[in-house]
Amino acid sequence: MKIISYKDAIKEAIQEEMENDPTVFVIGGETKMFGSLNGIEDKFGKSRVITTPISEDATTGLVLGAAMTGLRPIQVHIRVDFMLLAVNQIINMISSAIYSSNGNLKVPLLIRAVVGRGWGQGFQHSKSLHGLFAQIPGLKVIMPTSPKDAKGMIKSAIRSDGPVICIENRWLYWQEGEIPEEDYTVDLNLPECLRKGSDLTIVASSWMNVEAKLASEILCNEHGIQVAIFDIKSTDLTNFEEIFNSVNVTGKCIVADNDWLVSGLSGEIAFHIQKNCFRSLDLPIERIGFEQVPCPTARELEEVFYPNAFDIVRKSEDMLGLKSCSLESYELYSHETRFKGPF
Amino acid sequence: MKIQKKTLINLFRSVATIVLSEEKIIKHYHEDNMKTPMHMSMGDENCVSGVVESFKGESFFFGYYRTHSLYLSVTNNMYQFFAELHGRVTGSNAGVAGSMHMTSPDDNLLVNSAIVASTIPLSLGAALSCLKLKNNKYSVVFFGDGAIEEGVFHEAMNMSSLMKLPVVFVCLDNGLAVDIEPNDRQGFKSIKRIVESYDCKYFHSANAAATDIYKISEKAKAFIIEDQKPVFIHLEYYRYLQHIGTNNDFEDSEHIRLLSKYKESGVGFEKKNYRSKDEYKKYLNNKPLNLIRRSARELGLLEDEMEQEIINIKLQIDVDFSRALKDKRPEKKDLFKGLF
Repeated sequence: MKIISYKDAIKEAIQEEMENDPTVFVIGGETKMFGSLNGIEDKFGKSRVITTPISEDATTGLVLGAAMTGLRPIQVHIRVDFMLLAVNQIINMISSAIYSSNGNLKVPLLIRAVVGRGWGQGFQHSKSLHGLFAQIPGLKVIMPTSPKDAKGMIKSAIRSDGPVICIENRWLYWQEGEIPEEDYTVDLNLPECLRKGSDLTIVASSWMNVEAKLASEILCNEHGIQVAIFDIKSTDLTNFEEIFNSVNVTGKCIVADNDWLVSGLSGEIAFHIQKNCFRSLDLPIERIGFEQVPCPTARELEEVFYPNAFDIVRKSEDMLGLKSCSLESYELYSHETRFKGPF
Repeated sequence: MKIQKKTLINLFRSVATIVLSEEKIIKHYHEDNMKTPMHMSMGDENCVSGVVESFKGESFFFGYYRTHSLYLSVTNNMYQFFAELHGRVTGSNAGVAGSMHMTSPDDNLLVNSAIVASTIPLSLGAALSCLKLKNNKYSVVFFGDGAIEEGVFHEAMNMSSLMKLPVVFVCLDNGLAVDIEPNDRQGFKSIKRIVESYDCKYFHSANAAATDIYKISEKAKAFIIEDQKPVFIHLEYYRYLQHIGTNNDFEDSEHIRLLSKYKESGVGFEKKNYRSKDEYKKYLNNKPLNLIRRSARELGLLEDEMEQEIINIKLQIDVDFSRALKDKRPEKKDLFKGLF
């Protein structure tokens, strides 16, 4: 095993796949991707790291045409928000390409898109939108949280024969973790238990796993509460057995999604759990996510907009009938020390 | 440029197959066994056949929702064509695609889309594959003149020119977007000038026979090889029928008369009498089969040979249509087939 950052794990995945398969190439309007493609262009040249005009719509169509004719493109967007210019291609064209051919076409393409956060990113640099794409049959949407999953899931996505959208939270880029030295892949649709616990189950996506981990430590220290945390890793809800087993034990569940709640993935997850664990639930399932406004720029408003570990602690205390503990000695995650903007 | 006899026969056969297949559809559409919105090709047969004959066997093809000409000229498979229109499992796409989306990946006809201009950028990706994998030489995409009003058209023109991709843009221009004329939707005056501003070679013809369009396509092909740049073939033609459906703009067909008892049957989707009847009559004398027949005769194809082709095609159409009608329909379990 070795310790590596999320950003470098992505780079390793892409570099190794490009070495192994000459049909893999990277394409996008900006191909530095916050260091997650460091050195790739130097190693493979401009013909395999293609910088395009500012034409997200046409580039996404190009990627689809390339994928169905023998190439394995990786399209990159430095913000999910920019990917919206290509929604026609993603939702009308890519999602139905294999199905409309009765399974005869292969469409091996990966679209990577970064979710911005902090230092005033504002309402057009901060969306996640995994729930929007989760609704469309024919697309797989992944949201790796750890470096190990970032590398393993991106490798799986590049090798798969269908379209995958990878939503990457910018704050995760600095997270470090262990990954195997040898070649490995991680399934695109298997949630993982990050922490065991018998008092409360938290089902989280992307960055909210980091917040949930801090919350679980606080709850353990202050109340002796043991929280189970499950990282959903993708928007696929077909492998939730372990989560159901956990909720059947705890009887209490919070869904913490890095997205808006209204008509979102958190509602779908909550319904899915409720339907399968109805008789074990002590309380209605709770949800935590973005406030239902466009993301503001000013720091004070931004802090209210985003849910954090303290929100999870307070929600958990409510559900467990506990008095609010003091949070004064705890610090929330912040990347202020290393990230002063502007992007 | 002399056209080989084999090519002449192919061109005549392709146009005749499309014309006679669509006549078969018109005859039977009202029976309501083909439950799929149809954008009839009637009028563009020569255009599509000419381009396809030139590029077939060394190209990827993409089209739009007016698929019949492209599908039949690329595949010459009337059986799977009619089976798809009837929604049968033996159809080109096992009944999933219908008239607007029928394709044949085995023949490199990859995507047909109902969203205007949406396959144009796909052709760039296939052209990139041509360059990188040498798995084909050209990527050919068909679209209507309305597509030029979409943003993605301009993105694709810019990118294909910049990346020097072997794309053949084929604009099938019938002068109408549903029933709206260019003056009411285009702030520009010249498609040629738009195309040339992207450093893309422009070719043009109006109401030409497939033989002439084949020659233009061969010239365009030579240009791509020599200059390694995309080309644009602008083909004007007269659309004989409505934007959608099997009747013309002037009178109610048997289908429409039969459907008119249903309030929401789609009757009145577009206006009637928005075109000149005189113009329609003028083009009636110049119908697609007459066009290719005249040209093929001048170039050496005998009248008897053409008549025999027509007899053979009609026989095959009757056999394939009846067979398709009797074929198996999809079952519930087929719903999830092919889903990623």
